[in-house]
Amino acid sequence: MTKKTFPGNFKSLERISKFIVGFAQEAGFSPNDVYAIQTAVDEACSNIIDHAYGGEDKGEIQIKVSETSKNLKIVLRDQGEPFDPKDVPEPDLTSALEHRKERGLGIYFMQKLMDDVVFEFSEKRGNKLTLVKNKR
Amino acid sequence: MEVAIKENQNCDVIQITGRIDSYTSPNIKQILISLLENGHYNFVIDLGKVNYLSSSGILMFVNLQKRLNDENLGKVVFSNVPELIFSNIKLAGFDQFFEFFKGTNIAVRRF
Repeated sequence: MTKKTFPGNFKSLERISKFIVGFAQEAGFSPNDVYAIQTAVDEACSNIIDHAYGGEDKGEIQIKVSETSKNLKIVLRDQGEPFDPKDVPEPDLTSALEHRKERGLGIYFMQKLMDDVVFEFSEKRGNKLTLVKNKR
Repeated sequence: MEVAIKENQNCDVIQITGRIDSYTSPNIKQILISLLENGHYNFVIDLGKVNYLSSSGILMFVNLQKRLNDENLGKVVFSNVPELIFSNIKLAGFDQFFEFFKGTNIAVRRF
């Protein structure tokens, strides 16, 4: 298990990606899966900054990565506002360009690209997002 | 992230290098909007040297195309899109709204 904490700003995204990509490659995932994991974590962190913290430099993002023989598990924690994915409507991918909504694409990516996505919140420890990618 | 702009007769080629994410896409947006406001309406976005494109990056191009559509001005097309990046554009359902070209020269000739 490796744990790292990053400042909650968009400048951190590249370093977070490097950290996650390195871990996923070490774990033996294919380039497609490594890119999927990178995308899911990047979208998760952007959402934390935009929605849980409501802007940059309001708090930190803690990322815990662990690997088993079956999967890679990434746990992201923040101390921002409670985040409930049910508040975000799923994007309608069939609507015309002018009607497409901006919100929801990040969560949609996470759910499509990972095998398990779990959002939790506790008063004491804030938001916890668990992303799991199975090994094939 | 770096942006190189090459003006052509009927379109501008925007070659981006590096990551397009929530950190870098506002800068790219600013460049594209300033070109638009100076009368440039057709863009070939060369993603050949881009190693990551987030949903915020995809939406930045979508919003540019929306604005061009609203005023019936021009078009955004893409060239040299890496396979992994294209698969995320497709996953978001935006592949149907844009044209994709294997080479930048072919894309330029489209205009």
